Amino acid sequence: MYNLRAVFARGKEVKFISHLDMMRVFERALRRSHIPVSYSCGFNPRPKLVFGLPLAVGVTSEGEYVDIVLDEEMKNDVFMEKMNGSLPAGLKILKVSPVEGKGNIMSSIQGALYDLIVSIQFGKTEEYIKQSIKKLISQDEITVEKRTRKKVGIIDIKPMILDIGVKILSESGFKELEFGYNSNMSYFPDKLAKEKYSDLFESCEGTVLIFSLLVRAGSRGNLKPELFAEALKSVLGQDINICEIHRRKLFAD
Amino acid sequence: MKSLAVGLSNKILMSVEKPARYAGNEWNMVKKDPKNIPARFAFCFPDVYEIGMSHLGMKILYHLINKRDDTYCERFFSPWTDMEDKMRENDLPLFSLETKDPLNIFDIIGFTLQYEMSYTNILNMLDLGRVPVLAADRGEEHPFVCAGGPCAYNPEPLADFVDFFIIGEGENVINELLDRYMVWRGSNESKQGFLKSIAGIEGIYVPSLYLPRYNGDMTLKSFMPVDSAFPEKIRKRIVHDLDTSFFPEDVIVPYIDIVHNRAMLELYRGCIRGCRFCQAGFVYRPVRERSSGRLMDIAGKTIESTGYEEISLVSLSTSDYSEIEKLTGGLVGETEKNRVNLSLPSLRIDSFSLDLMEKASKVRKSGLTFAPEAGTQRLRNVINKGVTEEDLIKSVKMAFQGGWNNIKLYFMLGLPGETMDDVDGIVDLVFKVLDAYREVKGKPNRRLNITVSTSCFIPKVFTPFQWEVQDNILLIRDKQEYLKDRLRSKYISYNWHDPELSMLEAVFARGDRRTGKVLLKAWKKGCKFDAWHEHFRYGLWLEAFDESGVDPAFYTSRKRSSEELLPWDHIDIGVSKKFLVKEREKAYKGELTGNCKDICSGCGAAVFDSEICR
Repeated sequence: MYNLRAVFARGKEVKFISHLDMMRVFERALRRSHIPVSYSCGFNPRPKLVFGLPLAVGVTSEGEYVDIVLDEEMKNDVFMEKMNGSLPAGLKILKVSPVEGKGNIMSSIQGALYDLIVSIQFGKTEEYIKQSIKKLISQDEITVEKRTRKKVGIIDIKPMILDIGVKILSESGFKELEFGYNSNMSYFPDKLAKEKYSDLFESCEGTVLIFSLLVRAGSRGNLKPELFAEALKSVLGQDINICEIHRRKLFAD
Repeated sequence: MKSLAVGLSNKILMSVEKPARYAGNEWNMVKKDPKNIPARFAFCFPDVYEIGMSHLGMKILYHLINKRDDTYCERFFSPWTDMEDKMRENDLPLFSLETKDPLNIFDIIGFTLQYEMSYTNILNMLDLGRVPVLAADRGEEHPFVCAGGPCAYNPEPLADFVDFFIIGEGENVINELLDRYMVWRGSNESKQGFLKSIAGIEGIYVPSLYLPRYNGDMTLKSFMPVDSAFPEKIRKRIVHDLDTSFFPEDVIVPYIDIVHNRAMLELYRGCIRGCRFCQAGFVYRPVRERSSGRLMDIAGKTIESTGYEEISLVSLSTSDYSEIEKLTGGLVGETEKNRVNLSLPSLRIDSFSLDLMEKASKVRKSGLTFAPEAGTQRLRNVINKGVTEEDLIKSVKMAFQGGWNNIKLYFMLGLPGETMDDVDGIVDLVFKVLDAYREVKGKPNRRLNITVSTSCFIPKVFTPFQWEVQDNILLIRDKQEYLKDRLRSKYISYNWHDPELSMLEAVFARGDRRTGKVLLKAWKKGCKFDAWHEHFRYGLWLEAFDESGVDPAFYTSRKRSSEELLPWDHIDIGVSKKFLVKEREKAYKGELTGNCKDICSGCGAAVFDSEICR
């Protein structure tokens, strides 16, 4: 038995697949690359794969976790090379390390950092946008409607928001809208480059805003960035269009 | 050629169900740079992605065409209605999954015809792809539109829409066709010139070069080529040797779950049985098998290149494969090693097969399906279904003993000569299956479930029943009600088919060119995805018949004489009309015909000189 943890990225080529699809993709890639993954016992043996946190349909990421149990030891770089040869375009293992201890990645996820890119109709000034967002996050409660399969409920998402940074796209590039929340978002390395999203901005009509959202994630409270976008509608109007959601990082305890 | 990729915004894709249907980029998808490829082939499946991607024929032809350096074959599916609404709203044309290029820039558009009720989707796909639906409205600037597959054996309902049909198996003829196309491209000939030049290729039918004339009673008077240079009969093409013929090992592996989400291993083509209602049993003759050695080779390479967790044997009847024990013996070892499930559909249930299923698949014992098709021995003899009540009861007992709790029984209602005694026979047989359970297992447990399904008999072309009457809708409804009343038990569930849909299917199965007018009208009224219950709009179809002056009963409820000139008589499947007439007469007398392995019945398929016919 050999436990390892892989960090992987999911690009836009494969962003429309569900969590269940994702597990199948990994299972098939493992079979193609002859990696000796361990299987569960019982009637319906499953490969021993545990993902950190499901990635929603439509969301890209550069920091997903998967724990994999192998029947025999394998060098980390060998594993990475084999898998990257077998994963479809858009999925890439970035880092592999052995897992110490018995911790389950799924239960240890606490937080997630997202880039939420939205566009709003032209015609709203930078100052207006800034004040609206300030107003929203200074409220004691940020309530939104949450629809589940069975019911519609009202929830307060404020306790699940740990930090927010906002940039606005102008002709000269990105501009940070300065305001503090709990801490300074510049704490997180900002790799966002204009080139990376250049195709995106072509399809986004209106003023483009990039939110960096640090939110609670995992089994003990999980905020989807879509819900934050819903909350934005209460201050910026209904014309908010989600252009892209990208998960930059997951935080484990 | 320059790429004109359709711009699909995130907003559109995120607003539709299952956006991965439209995204492409799956493992093993063929990538080519269209700039360096002279010919673009649009392979169109007129249903949703999950159904089209489950189809073996498409996998074979996609990879076969893409082996050519001069052609890029790309996939198109019917967008689901939510996506179609968005596309029409945003003025987006139908696009390929590979390059996202629009349909109308392709050179040849090929539709696969798997079932008649997908015909409206063909028109809808052409229209969404900005290609005029009627062949007569297309000019030199438009692509060629061709079609093939099982429904092409009666091409006439689609004659107004399709430039040429490929009759029979496509593997050989498609390359011949593309070779001719490449030559034509370099010439100054018109599109009509190309069509005339391919009309002589065996297996190619160009409907615009043929002219039907009708009698006063609407039946066909004559059907002749417009020029004696074109063949009067179009013989289907087949692959003679499956061992040397192309079979794809690097098939596309979809991300989302599809109907048949597994690797497929095609054992053989054709069927030795000759059940008289079954079109596949006649049009795919003669039987041609792949050797177990070649199959083992394909299985290994397919698992290697796809990583699939399941591999399925594909044929019309697995148990009839000559080397089944040798093949499965080898496969079980291979699949176990790779933790791959082996799926064994259409097996005759006996001790060998139950033991094999036990070994092959570690998953739960899901269900076993039996298809007696008719309720009495008399009617089973009429249809040449060589299965007896004794066989069935013996098999289900074995299954119950082996721990199976879920049994499915398939029957057909409205078979030629069916009486209420035969419908009663279904009830009898179902309860005998339930009794068989009590006999071997005692008191039924909660999980016991016998699912009874009845479909409606549809007379199909090139079967001994191609001249027969279809039961009308009211009669079928009565029979269904009769069964609903009598199949009452907490262990039995009963499903039935829509007789309205079966009636329409019957019209197009044996339709002539005039039914194409109805099709066009129905599509214009908004009919599409007719095979999907939630989209089937029978009222609109009736309006379309009415406005076209076409009476559906002429096609469904009229018993034809064996002498009548039939709209598909210019197609030659090898099996002779004389043989079909003889089988029709034997059916009336309840006489059985033996299977091809035991005795040759002289059906005519020997013209293809296959091993089984020698």
